[in-house]
Amino acid sequence: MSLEEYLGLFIDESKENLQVLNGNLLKLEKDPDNTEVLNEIFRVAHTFKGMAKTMGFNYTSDLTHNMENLLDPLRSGKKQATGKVVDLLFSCLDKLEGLVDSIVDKGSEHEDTSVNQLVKDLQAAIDNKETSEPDTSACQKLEFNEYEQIVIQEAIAQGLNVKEVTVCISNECVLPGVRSYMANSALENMGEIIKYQPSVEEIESGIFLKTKDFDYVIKVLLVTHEPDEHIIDKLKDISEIAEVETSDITAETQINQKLKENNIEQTEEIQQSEENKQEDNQSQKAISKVVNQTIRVNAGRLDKLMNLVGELVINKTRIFELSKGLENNDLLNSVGFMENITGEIQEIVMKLRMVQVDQVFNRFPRLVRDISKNLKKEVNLVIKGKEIEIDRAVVDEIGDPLVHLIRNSLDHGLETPEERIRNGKSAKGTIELHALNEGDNILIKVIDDGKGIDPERIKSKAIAKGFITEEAARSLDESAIFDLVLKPGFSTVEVATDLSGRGVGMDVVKSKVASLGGTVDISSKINKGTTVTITLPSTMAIIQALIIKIGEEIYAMPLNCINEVIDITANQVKQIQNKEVITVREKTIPLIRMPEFLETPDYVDNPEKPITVVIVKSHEKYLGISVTELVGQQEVVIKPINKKLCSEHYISGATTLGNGEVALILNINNLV
Amino acid sequence: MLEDLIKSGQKEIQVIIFKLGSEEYAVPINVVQEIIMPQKATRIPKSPKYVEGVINLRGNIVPVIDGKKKFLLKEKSENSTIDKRIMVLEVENETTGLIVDSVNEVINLNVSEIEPPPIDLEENTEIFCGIGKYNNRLLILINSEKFMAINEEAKKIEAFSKVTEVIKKARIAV
Repeated sequence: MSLEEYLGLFIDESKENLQVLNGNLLKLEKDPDNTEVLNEIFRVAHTFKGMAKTMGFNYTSDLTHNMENLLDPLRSGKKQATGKVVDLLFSCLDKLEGLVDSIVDKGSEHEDTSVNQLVKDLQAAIDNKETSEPDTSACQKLEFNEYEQIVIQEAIAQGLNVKEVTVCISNECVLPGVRSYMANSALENMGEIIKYQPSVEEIESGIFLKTKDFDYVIKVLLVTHEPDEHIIDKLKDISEIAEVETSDITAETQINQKLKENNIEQTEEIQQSEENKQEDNQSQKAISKVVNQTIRVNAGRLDKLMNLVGELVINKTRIFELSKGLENNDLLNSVGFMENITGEIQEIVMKLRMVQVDQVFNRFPRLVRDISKNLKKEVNLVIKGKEIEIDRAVVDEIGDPLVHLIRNSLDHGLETPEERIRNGKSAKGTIELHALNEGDNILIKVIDDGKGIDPERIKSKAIAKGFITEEAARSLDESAIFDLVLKPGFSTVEVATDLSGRGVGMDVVKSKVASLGGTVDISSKINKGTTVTITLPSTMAIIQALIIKIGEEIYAMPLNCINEVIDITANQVKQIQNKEVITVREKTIPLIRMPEFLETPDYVDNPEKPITVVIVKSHEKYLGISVTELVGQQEVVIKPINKKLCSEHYISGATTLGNGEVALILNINNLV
Repeated sequence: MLEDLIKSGQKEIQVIIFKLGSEEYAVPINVVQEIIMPQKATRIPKSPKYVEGVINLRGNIVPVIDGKKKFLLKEKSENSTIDKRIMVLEVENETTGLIVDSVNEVINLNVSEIEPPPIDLEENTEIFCGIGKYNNRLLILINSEKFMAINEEAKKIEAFSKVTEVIKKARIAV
């Protein structure tokens, strides 16, 4: 069998595992005694080892094997997860990432002698205090529960032999699971199997018993007539089975075990039950993981699915039109039902493209940890809104700009602990990464409580660099000044560090975000901190919208921009500086007459009729929009529209309505 | 464009012939995604005059432009509106609908039968492949990539209508 086929799977799973490992190591650093986290780390290392071994990636499996050895005593509490140990685990993680990357690039591991160094470090860390053998627990005899004991007793009473068969599979075996399955079926032919250890499920997930010499060992309790030699011969016929041992279970062994059980001290029993519980927890977690599991799908297939659903919708509409002519109620009912279903299918397919922004955010805790250690700054990273969903394409692109911003905040924004204390702040700085929906946009904010940006310094720098004249600088307001920072070649830090400060950062961020159709805003207060806001259009996003009619044309506007809807009479509209305004609860709000503004054809104004005004809010500003009629509220899928068509940006996209017609979505942010 | 074709060594290209007014035009078949019946488009406020609006093409929003308005052809349609179609073209990953008066046929055009545009267009030649001769018919071959762009210079458009005029005269002369 070719392992090539599994390479993609291996890479995907490895990446996932690396992420889990990363997250848990960070947790471990904060809470070194958390056995749950340790168990999880151990589990990941173990899975990794299994997979790497299957694929024949020896460096990876070697490294994870030694990680496991280090983790085992940590997990059982024999050893403390000190900062040094965690650092070591982190460097293992980095090395694993490097190895996986090279597998991605070349399909094989690069020859890496530094792995050996790490392995040595790991072994040194293990030997440091740990003397007990990690394998002892694995070599234990089978233990039986009450039911099994009854079965054994009965079998013995009937004159059958009860044997414990130990099968050792060779370490070089690529698919030990298959071999163990073959061994099991051979044994099944020779008698009745009472107990497997490890269980079938465990074998499937690659968990085996271990001895000093063998990595894959299974034990089977067999009730049989066959003599030992026969069993051993049969099993040895299977290739890659290195060794088979049998031992008889007699009534005596039973008694011994019982005695032993009785002699177990109470404390130990408690410990055991606790361990069992932990195991239970683990298996439960494994189950819940299975439930939440996602399936990787080729993006091309998704697009195809989306097209096909489109065809389906068109044909559904056609059938609907045809059936209307036939006036057959049954037909109309079933077509109506079909309409609902196709609508739902379409929506689901649209949502398939959306992923949680968490996919980008989850790499930042580690980044912040590393950089802050490097800079000797204390930072608390707060992540909010990681459940916000954005289009896959955006997720892939937005990572780098965010890394830039966070590095900037860490490097230039936050002060050293001493400096902070001098300025009357807590020694620990805060960086907040915050995703939120605003209207049809998604905002990602990077907020720090550092020293902020001095507008005067930017001004003088901009003048010195020749971006603006001194005169022009005087008339600039604050936001215009901060915009200067986004210009190419602007850097306010005199000494470039290896992190940031070469003056390429911010304009790269800006151009990248602009290529996604978004904008970057900076606001800052000296000694209070800086906030950088990235505004991204949520293409393909699904929003709640208010459907309105302007003249005879239908438009949609995002519901979360809307403050309220009121009816006013024509004489409530006042003129200020040739602009129409209305007064709502003592607030004066500008009014836009949409039919005129959008040059709606064939629109006749009826001055007698009350005007329906939708009050919208964006960036803390209010605006009244006159509409002809409110149609309703519904969930709409925002679809991108050729930007060149709407040069003035009053339209942010379009959506299809139930009847197949297209409604344009008004861009409230640009109207206000 | 024409040079590229000759260089490629291709003997024939397959084109779709359509009409705007009385003249016959042709585009390579590989840029035409499909041909659909005219449907009501949603107007886009403050868009260029030749933009008819957007339509829903199986869930995708596709802008539709009026061929005659876009290319400044003043004459009225020869045929009744029954023959009107929207040709959906996919050019540089953008899908655009082009309203034409009729779509006539698909033919194989000999590359050797394609001639450069009859008048001097200066730097604006890139919008044409040339003039194709097919059974005594003159077909204006369009380079759709340059052509379907929503905002291209007015100069090119003028060049286009000039060519159309020349061809028309040539045809009448024949």
